[in-house]
Order: sequence, then structure tokens, then C-alpha cells
Amino acid sequence: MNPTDFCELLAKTLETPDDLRPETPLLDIVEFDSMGQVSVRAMADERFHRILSDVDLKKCVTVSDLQQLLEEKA
Amino acid sequence: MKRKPKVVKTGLLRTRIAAVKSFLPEAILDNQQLSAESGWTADEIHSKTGIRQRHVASKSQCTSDLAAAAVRRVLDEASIPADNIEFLILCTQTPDYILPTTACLVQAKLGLSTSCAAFDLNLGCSGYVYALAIADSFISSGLFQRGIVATADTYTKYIHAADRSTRTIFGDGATATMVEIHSGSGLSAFSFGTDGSGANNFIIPAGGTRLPSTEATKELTGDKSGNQRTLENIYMNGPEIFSFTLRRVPEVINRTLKGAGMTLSEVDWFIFHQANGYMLEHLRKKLGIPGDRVLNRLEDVGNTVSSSIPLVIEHALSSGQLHPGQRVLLVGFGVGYSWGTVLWTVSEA
Repeated sequence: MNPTDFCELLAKTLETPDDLRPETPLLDIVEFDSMGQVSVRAMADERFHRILSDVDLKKCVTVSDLQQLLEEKA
Repeated sequence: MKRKPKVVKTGLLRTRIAAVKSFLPEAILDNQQLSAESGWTADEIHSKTGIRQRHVASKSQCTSDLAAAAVRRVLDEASIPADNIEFLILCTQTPDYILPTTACLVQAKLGLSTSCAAFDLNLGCSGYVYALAIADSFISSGLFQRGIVATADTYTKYIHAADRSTRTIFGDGATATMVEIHSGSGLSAFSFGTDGSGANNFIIPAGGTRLPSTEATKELTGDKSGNQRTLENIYMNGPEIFSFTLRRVPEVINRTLKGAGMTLSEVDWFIFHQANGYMLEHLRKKLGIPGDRVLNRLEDVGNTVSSSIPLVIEHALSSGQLHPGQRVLLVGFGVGYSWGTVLWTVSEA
């Protein structure tokens, strides 16, 4: 998936009005709270067939890191 | 040596569910009240959780009060005298006291026979399935012929008012299921699982013997999502619980169906622990179960822990959705981590 499409997918998943970019830090996204993380895990399961853990997510600082993680494991 | 998980098929004497009744405390916490303090609108809370309101026990209402009220209702419903009950299993994680056993308090409140076996079972969201398995073992072994499986919890007493991650989800309540010997179909193909490595993801850290209550455990701390709680409150790592569910629930369902020699399409109804609406919908789609074969009751009661599955059954029986001969898969999962499933064939009333 190209980075722009992934940013759009993540923004839609989190229902954030923010304009996400690959370099956006995940912790800067207000909607990336515990409810938002549940949505991201559901998206990861559905779209990438991956079940994320806290350990996985702690490795991800930016949106790009998350995309890389999901695509590495896919 | 790694042992293959077993699916336990029960013997010739079956256990049937004869009646299910509930008791919900009068006080209600709805999304309008929560929106004023949570930063989410009432509709946002509903869309994130699938819940519109939860029942909340009053300060003076404890688990034994809720359980006794539910048991009284099931005795009335089944027209069975209290002294005909041979055992009472009470599934709870919020006992009235550390000791004595809350089931003993319920026995006394209701005047159940002093020859009635009564004990508590400390499990949460998987607890109803476990309690049914114990009841089924009692009955199919010939030890007892009739008993009650009760579930009751007052989680809200352990939830901090500033923790929206749990306050929006959990409600209090109790149920009582009359189970009795039956020569036809009933409960079968139980399977279970446990992974205690997830214990810290759903826990009340302080107040037990591991970390006794002190002034320090009463100190309020906040998390990244803005929730606040003390070590004496319920902590739930929702995202990790969700991932646990995605890993374990499909596996245990497949194991149960394989053990029963059935396919997913041969199950008439699925009743999952009512964790939250979002999780349930994702699980349903992941498993490929049509929406019209899943029974839910979440919107008006919230997540009531071990009471959630019997609350769905009670509603489905009273609304005429369940018919004799239909096969229902009950799936419990959560705190522990702990999980269990059972295939229930609905019997004649």
C-alpha cells in the first residue's frame, strides 16, 4: 500500500480529522487512545491479517513505522 | 510434553437449562450522564461501545443481595420450592466479604436447605460456562439432580469515576439459571482455556495479599488517554484484551465444533460474552457468522461480566427466539485470561 493510502486508512480507522503523514508521531494523534488502538487492531486483523500486541505497537513511533510493521508481518 | 487441548463430551445423563431469570439494580447510568464527564457525546459512547445504559448497584446493594433476588425469581419461575435445590454455584469476583463465601450468605437469605452444597467460583467473563460445566458434572455423575448456577457482580464499586475506559463499559447485575437432570439433549462439548500471562491486563492490583491496601494504593494516577484510577480500582487494557480475544475465541470455537462433529453453519445461535459492541461485531465478521444468528443484549445493560451470557439467554427465551432442539454455542472469554465454550441444545420447557 502506498504511504498516502495508508495514512488515509489510518485516519479513517481512528476517525481523526487530522491530516496524517508518514512522519506523524502516533502519540500526537488524539484519537490514538485506548478506543482508537482497538480500532487499529481491528483494522490490522481485517486488512493485514495480523493481531497486534502492545509489544508491537511500542516499536512504532510514527505512522510510517506502523505501516512498515504491518507490511513486514503480512 | 505438550498436551493436546481436550473437548469434553458429557455422558448419557444430560443437564438441561430449565429456567433463567435475572435481577438488575434500579439505578441507571446512561450515556447522557457519562457524556458530561467523559468528553465523548452520548452517541459517540454508543458507537464505540454499543451500550446506551448500565445498571449500577447502590452503596448498600452487594453481590449477595443481587444474587439472592435473581435466585428468588428463578425459583418462582420454575415453581420449585427452595428446599428442593441441591446445589448453588455462585460465580462472582466481587464477593460481599473476603470470607465467608458469598454463596453461603445467599443460601441463608433464601432459606435453601442446609443440605444444599453452596460455593463461589471466582471467574469473570468465562465464568458462566465454567459454572455450567461444574453443574453438568454434578448432574451427569448422578451426585445431584437439580441446582442453580448464579452469576452476580458489582464491578462498578471498583471502577473509578474518572476512568471512562471501564465506566462506559461495565454494569452490575445478577442471574440465576435452574439446571436439572434430563434424559434428552442439553449441555455438551465443553472446552476451556487459560493464559494467566495476561493477568495484569485486567486486574485490581491492590487490596489482596500481594499488594495490601495502603495510603499509597489510594493515590490517583492518570494514563495517556486521560483516564484516572487508583491501584484499588479495576484496570483494563482494552486493546490487549481485544487482541487476546482475536487470538483465542476463533480457536476455541473451532475446537468445540470439531469435538462435537459440527460445522459453524449447523449452529443455530451464537451467544458471546457481551464484552462490547465493537469487539463483538468484529469477531462475528472474522468468524463469518451471519448477523441474524448472533444473539446480543448489551445496549440496555452493558458488560455484566459472568452475567452477560445468561442475560442474553433470558431475553431470548422470553422473546421466543429460542426453540426446543435448537443448538446454541455459548462463548465466554475475558479476565484471567480465561475462556470456555459449550454447546447447548434447547430443551422443552
